[in-house]
Amino acid sequence: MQRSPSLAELQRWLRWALTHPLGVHRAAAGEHLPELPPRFIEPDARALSFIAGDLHGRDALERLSVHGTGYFARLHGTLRLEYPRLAGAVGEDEFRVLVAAHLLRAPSRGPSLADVGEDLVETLRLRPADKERPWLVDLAALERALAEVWLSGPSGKGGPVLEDGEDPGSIALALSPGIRLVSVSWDVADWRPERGPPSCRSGRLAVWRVGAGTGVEWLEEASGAVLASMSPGAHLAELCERAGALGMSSEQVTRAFGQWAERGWIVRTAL
Amino acid sequence: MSNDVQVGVGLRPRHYAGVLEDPPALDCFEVISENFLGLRSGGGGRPLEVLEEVRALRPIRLHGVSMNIGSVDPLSETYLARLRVLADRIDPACVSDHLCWTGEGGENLHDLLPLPWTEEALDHLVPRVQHVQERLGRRLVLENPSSYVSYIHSTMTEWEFLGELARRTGVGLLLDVNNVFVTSRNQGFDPRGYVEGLPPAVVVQFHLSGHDDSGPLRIDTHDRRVCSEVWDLFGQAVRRFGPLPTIVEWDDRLPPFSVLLDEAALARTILEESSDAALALAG
Repeated sequence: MQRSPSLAELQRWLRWALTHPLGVHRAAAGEHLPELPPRFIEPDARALSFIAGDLHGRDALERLSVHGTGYFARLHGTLRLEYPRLAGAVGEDEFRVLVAAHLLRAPSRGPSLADVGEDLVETLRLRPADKERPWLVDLAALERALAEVWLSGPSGKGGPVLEDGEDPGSIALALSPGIRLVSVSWDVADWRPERGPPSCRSGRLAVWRVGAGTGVEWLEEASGAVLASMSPGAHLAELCERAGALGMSSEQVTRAFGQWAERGWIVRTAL
Repeated sequence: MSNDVQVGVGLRPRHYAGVLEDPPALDCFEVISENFLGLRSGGGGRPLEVLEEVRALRPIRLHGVSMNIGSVDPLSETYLARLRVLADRIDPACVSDHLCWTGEGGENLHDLLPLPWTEEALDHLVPRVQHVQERLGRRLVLENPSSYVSYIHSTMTEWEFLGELARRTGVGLLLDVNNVFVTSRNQGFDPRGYVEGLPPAVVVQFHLSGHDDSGPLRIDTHDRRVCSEVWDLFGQAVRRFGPLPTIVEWDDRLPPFSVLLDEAALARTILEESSDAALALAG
């Protein structure tokens, strides 16, 4: 009589079968794809013979397929919600192929579905260059930034407040976790699938949360450079100096910092 | 709203605006814990702000899907720490997850995968449940998932396994009545025997939802009304376990919120009638 699989053997085999890009049936039949990551080398196959079938004429693989199909559908659905414009740009079929490639390259390793799309931009970058649509990477980066500020950022209100007698130049600042700066080469800020390919436009987009919504705005080159260079703990005086060196007038510096503070893009930080 | 019967619904992102604008006549809400943990990089974002606003209106029950309690992977201390922070902030009426495994080898399949009902699995789970309860500083509650797959080397029934796990750890059971029914149809056992087989003191909460019965296997889809057989089974469960807090779940193809309120109202009626009947019998 065959020894029953240990819990570890059972789970290892099931994880292999349920996430296999060929699906449960073809994976169990021994089909394989070249150049799959090592995690797709089949573990001890005894586990399969310990999965019950027969009830209602359903065999074990058919039952497992419920989970295998659900695995892809759930993660595809999550990414489809997070990247609606990217999916619109490439079409549903190609988006499914992209999701499959992403799960192969970067399977979910966090507790939250919100982290599944964290690295989709990199998956796009690693694909063979899309000469027709080089702007897809910018579009995906923007959509991820929108998701991130929604899911992790503070509300975008308020900003650094001066204490009585405090020297403004000594305040230590940081970019708020509620803002993302996205460097792009294409005008994807308001892009919709029905508009055709976006035009070339290089620069930085600020993406931030505003209460129950989000904002996207092009940054002036110098403003974007100052914000992008803002390492945590940077002093206001030092940032003003940098802004000046980038050609911003003192009026522009005052206005820019005032707006960033009002929008909650910059926050005080402890040194 | 009643003082002695607690009925709520699973709060999903599409409900946020409506619930805050016009709070419905429900006793509580249940939320998916992971939706409020923010990203790996931190923060809770807008969802956490909404949860705090809802918490000011009604008690919250935290229901997780990624504890991975049954996995052979080590428990994620980071996850438990984040869940503890959330729980301390929200002060939930209950913190629950599922009796299952969701990943292995560091991967999360985001699915509720079935365990074999064996002594090995019990021995594996007991210290993990105890560890989670210590880390969270509160009693853990686990839900019976729907299952499509079972294992021929299981040595006990699901309800025997649950009862024994509860005896050894003090874990509570969130009895998902729909899941009992779905599993019973897929595995070929009498769902009433499942309800009768659970020790009464173990069950602390009920779940109700709809499932897809169009194929050869019943699929737990949470995308339609609760079916009549599950309502009947719910009545039996209420008579056995009492009028426990009950949550109606609906996750896909969301209908107008009024439909969820209808389902919640029906649950309340059954809770009140079945518990009255049980009291009368006892008297």
